[in-house]
Amino acid sequence: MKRKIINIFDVVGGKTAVSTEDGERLFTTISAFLEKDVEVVLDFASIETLITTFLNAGIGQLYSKYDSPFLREHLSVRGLQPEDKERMVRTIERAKEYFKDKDNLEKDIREAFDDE
Amino acid sequence: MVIIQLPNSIGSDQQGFASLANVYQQVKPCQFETIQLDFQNTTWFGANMLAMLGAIMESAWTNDFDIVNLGPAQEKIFKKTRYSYFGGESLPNSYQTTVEYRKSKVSEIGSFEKYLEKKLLAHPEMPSMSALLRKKIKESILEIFNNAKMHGNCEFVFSCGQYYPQKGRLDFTIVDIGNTIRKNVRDYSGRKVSSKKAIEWAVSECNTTRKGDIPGGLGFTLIRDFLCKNEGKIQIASADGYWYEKECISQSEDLSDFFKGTAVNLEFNVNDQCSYCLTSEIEDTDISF
Repeated sequence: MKRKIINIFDVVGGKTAVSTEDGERLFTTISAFLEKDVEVVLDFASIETLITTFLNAGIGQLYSKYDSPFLREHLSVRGLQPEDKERMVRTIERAKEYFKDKDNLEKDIREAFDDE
Repeated sequence: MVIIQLPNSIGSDQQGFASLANVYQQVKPCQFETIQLDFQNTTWFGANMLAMLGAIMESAWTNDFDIVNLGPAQEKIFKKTRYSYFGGESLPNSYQTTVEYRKSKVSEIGSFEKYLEKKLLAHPEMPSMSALLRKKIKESILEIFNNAKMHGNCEFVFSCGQYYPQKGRLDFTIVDIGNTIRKNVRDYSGRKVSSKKAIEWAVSECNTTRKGDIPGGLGFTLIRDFLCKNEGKIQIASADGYWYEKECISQSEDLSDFFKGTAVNLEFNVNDQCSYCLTSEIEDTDISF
């Protein structure tokens, strides 16, 4: 399998990965390579500020197109700051949960407010 | 002319948010009027609350505002924030306990991030904080900024801060005049939810009013986790609801007046030395998709 390293610093044009728009750009870039069955490595070296808005759009959104076994086989990360790793793990967990229950979300919220 | 008397004290608490929501209610029906904001009785106005006052004045932009009877000490604080009413006039940077007021376009998060770096984290009076604490403070504020953009459906975000050197606390408030949390939750759920219930739901783990392919519902959870460890506080006033969490205990109340927007105040313990030193080291290879 071919391998592509995506440098997040290049994608966002700096040390700060915080916007939905940059996340969308990352999502489009990753998807283009995954479509061609290329293994993708996301390199977060030099990224100093990273928030969920970016991660949800860039990585969480991948679960709308690909399942977990496929992503495990094709995607990996490196260079994350130690304190950002937990954020990444929770974003992934949240995305899996979100797409697993997406159809039931609206039903769940209506039930949550049944006594209102 | 419409004259609005400001109360004795406006701080970062339920009463402070309610008082400004009351100002909003008085300002709301006015168009092409002169509105006098009378500070005669006001002995304290937390600089961070200028974010909400600025948003209220912006919401009534067809009117002319006159700020009158502002005490000298209070006027000094307002000018130190470069509050736009005074045309951005600034006082010398000595004993600066305020963080500059700013009206930011929601599309310009990069510029907002630079403002946080320059005006908040590099603040001359701020104690020396660990790199991790500075990072967490910045990330928390940026999450709130993005929340206003995504859920508020607004054009601008207003922000300002007040630093208390003796207490080692920093209050930073972010306000938008877009959709309230109640509106978003009502639209999403189809239920006539109260404001306080709507906020409680919105800040709970995994809850989001987002639809579509970008997941949400994690930002507030991470901020709450951080502020619990930091011994900080978060407050939200939106529509006629008020919610806060301090020392990991949350509570919601009704706000006596309706504010068509959302104000979030984050209170950080800036003397915190190590409450979120990393407890476990995750390897890159442990991150499993």
